[in-house]
Amino acid sequence: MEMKELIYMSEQVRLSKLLRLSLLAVLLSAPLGGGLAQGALEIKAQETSYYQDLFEQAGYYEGTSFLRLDRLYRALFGKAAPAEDVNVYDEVPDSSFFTNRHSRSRLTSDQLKQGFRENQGPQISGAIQVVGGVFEGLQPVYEIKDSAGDRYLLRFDPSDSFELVTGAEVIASRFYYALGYNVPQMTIVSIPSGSLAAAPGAKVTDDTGFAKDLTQEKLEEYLLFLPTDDQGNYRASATKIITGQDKGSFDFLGKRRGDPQDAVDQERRRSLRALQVFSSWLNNTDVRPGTTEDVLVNENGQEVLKHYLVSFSSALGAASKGPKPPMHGHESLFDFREVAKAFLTLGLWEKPWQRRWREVGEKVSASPAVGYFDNRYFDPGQFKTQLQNYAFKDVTRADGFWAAKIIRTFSDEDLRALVEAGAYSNPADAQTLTKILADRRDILARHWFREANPLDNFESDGSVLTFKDLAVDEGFLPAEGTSYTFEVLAVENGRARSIASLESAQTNLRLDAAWFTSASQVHVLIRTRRPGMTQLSPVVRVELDAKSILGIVHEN
Amino acid sequence: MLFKRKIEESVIKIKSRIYPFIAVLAAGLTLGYGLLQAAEASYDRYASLPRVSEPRSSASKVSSDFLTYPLELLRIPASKSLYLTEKYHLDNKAKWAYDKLTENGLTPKVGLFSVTGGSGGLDVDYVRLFRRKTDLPDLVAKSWVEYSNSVRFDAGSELGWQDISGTGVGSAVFVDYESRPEEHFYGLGPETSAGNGTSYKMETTTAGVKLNYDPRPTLKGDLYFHYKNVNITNGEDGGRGIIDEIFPAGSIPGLAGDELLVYGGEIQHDTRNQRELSTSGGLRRLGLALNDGISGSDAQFLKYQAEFSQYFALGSPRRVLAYHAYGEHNDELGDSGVVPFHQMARLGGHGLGPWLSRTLRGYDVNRFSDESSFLMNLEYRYTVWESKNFRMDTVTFADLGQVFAEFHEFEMDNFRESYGGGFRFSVANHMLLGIEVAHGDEGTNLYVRTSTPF
Repeated sequence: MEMKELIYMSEQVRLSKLLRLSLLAVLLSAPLGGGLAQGALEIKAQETSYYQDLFEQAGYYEGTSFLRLDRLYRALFGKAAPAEDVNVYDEVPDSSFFTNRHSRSRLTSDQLKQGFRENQGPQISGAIQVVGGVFEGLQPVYEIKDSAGDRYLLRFDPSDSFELVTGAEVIASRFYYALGYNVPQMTIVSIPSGSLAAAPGAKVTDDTGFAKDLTQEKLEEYLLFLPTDDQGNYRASATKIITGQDKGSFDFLGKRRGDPQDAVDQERRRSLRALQVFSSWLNNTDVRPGTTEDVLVNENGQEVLKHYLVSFSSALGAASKGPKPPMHGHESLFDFREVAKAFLTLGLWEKPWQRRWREVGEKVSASPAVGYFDNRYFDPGQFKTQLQNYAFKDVTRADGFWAAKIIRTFSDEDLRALVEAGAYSNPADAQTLTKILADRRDILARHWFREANPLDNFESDGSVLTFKDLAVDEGFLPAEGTSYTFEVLAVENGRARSIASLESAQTNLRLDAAWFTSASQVHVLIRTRRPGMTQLSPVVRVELDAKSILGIVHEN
Repeated sequence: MLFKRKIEESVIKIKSRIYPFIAVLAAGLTLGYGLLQAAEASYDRYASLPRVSEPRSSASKVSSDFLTYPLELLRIPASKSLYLTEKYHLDNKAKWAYDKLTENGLTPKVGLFSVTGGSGGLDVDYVRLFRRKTDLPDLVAKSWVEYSNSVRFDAGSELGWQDISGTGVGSAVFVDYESRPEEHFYGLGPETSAGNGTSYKMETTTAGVKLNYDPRPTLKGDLYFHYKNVNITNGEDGGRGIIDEIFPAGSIPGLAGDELLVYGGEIQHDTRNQRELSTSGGLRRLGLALNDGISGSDAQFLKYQAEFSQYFALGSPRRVLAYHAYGEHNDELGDSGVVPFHQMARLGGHGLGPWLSRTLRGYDVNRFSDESSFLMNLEYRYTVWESKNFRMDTVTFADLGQVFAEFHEFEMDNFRESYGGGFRFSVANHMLLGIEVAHGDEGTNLYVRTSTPF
């Protein structure tokens, strides 16, 4: 018996044992779980800040990465860490982190444009009271209370980049929601000048770092720095403060103590790893604990800790203070690998972002509302958020493929609807962004479909196994010359033996009834051979019984 | 009949065309429905049926991460401190306090000049302190105090006018006291032994007047007259030889100290694009000063100084070749005039700053002294990291210099050279921290600095 088969067999035995143990554990813990679910969750708030994220993500965890033996082992031997929040069909079931939305059932244009919606946004017909905020620099964040008593955070654009940050933030919130993440309600609001009033007793923190009383005079002084539209209205993105108990942030690492639903280490969650891919699509370079929020909410009579993404001001062509700096997306903040390359090449090697920046004359020439966003030198495999984390570093081919096939569910029409949420005054800006996002979608899908074995939509009626080759279906690769190798394994009591090997140009496999007579399960290992490529693709394992598909695994 | 037949034929023809279409449509619908049914009935791909892969046990996680646990003792307080700094805006408060002090004429100063050596000081601008800047914009009235651990203490005051009525002319009187408790001295000339290291204490009190004219931002000229009292005593560093024990009285001019009158001038042409970490332009400086000993001092000499630096961006401001040259000659006047050793040219170390010695890395500060010196520094600086205003440059360098008494004693063989490299971290083109290693004939030195050598 070959080594591969032995490994395979031992894995099956282990899985079988684990399955039994898990089942036992689930049965034993069911009453206890029920008790916990009905009781109040004791979860301590877990606060973070930018400085803390900077130190921990860019310094500590990056620096101690090779002191963690499992990471060291994987780095040395090129092993992947498989995601653990996937189901038997290699999909991510709904959880407090992620809900399959557009990928499960196409949202309508209106639903996409609307995103997560509790109400219509701040009521601007009445007085809007500024109850607090941080007034540092020229881009303050106001906390307001509208006439309905709802509270929002208002963010504004830099004076020379009108519509840039507000548009990016709202559009990105629509994308993340449609992709499956929890986001707060975000809307673009146009606030008539003169309708913002300092609330009695309101305090703000200004550049001095001290909290001070906010007077109407002071407020109007701050408002002088904000850009307005042609009618003199202030444009802002209004984030509705999430209802529930704020429990701080999640940190993409380990499990949240006290949360029974957070049973998988966060760096092993495909739903969080995929944020790396989704963020590369949206050019969102600021994804870190500080841009997340955990909120304890009551759903169907049970307390649930829901995990939100809450800040998108560094998406598309924006950074929080203006157009995106040229290195963002290409290099993380302290990118030791890029530094080492520059060091060893004596600075003679021009980094892709430097070349891209040089080629545009070192200035942002696009519309101020679009900022610095295009697809030149965009390499999906090399995209980096400013602060990396283990979840993003551990993205496997299977994770990337899963994310890419979700991205491919967005049609050009869908993208137009999503971008419309940015409410740009110039339709050309929306068109530009839609085009960039559509092209980027294709670049991403092409990349991850090439990295993985892009077979999906498996079906079986017991006699034929059918599937789709997404790379061919999307027109990324030709059907002609593409073939599939099938290795059929009979699996019984965790032992696998090869019973057939086939190769076909068809995306189906006739299942021989005899295969199922000697074993309770049949596993079909499928690899794809592409024209002009000598190497076979990674494997997809489809687990079957005589009636249906039991499981699907894409190789990591 | 014919008409009827024609109609029947037409109907058959139409039927023959429609029926296959209907058949195909029906088949398609049936197949589609079947597939749809199959798709719906086969499996729910989003079902909550977790695949039990290989979940990490707590034990395996602990054993995997055990090497990092000691470091957690550092991470937790560091993270907490950073969190609190941001939560309570301590960074903004500190900046506000600094700005407020500066606005009111008090400018604190801090710096690093070695791994363990730091400096601190305070500049006091009385015009701002007494809120007279609006009334008296040209008035200069300031004091300063600066302390560099074991290297220098300096305090002084200045009163004068700057850029009087926009003419570019300024004038000031000043007084300054400086103490250097551990000046190193190895003897005179290029052939001195590193084993003859001694130290002495030098206290210098200076009072004078100066007149400056800055016709253009890039051009300035100074004229000055100083009274200078230099007092030499034994150094405070017990680990080094005492200067007058190693070098007998009379062998080194100026060991007893001197009182000097200095008349001098300087012209400077500065086209650098920024004061530190320049990427283009250069600095040219010429100085001439007559030093005349009084109160029994036989010092009498002319000091000539010339300095030149140039910065070339090599296709990008991220790659800069920087060149620096310095020459100094102290020429005795008359038959009896001498140049005191404490006023001679010095080479060694990482440039000025708290020291008087010019840049020859890889050698001790003041390693070489004589009446004249010639020095060349070449640096290749290239950026390896940048984010917003922050930047880290790598520098590789070579230094070459020698001291000599008279020009005819200048010899190519007497050059001492060193080379090395390091990193410089800066913000908005102001150096924050530099770490450099240099290797010369006498060993390898590590430099931690908050300034560039040129």
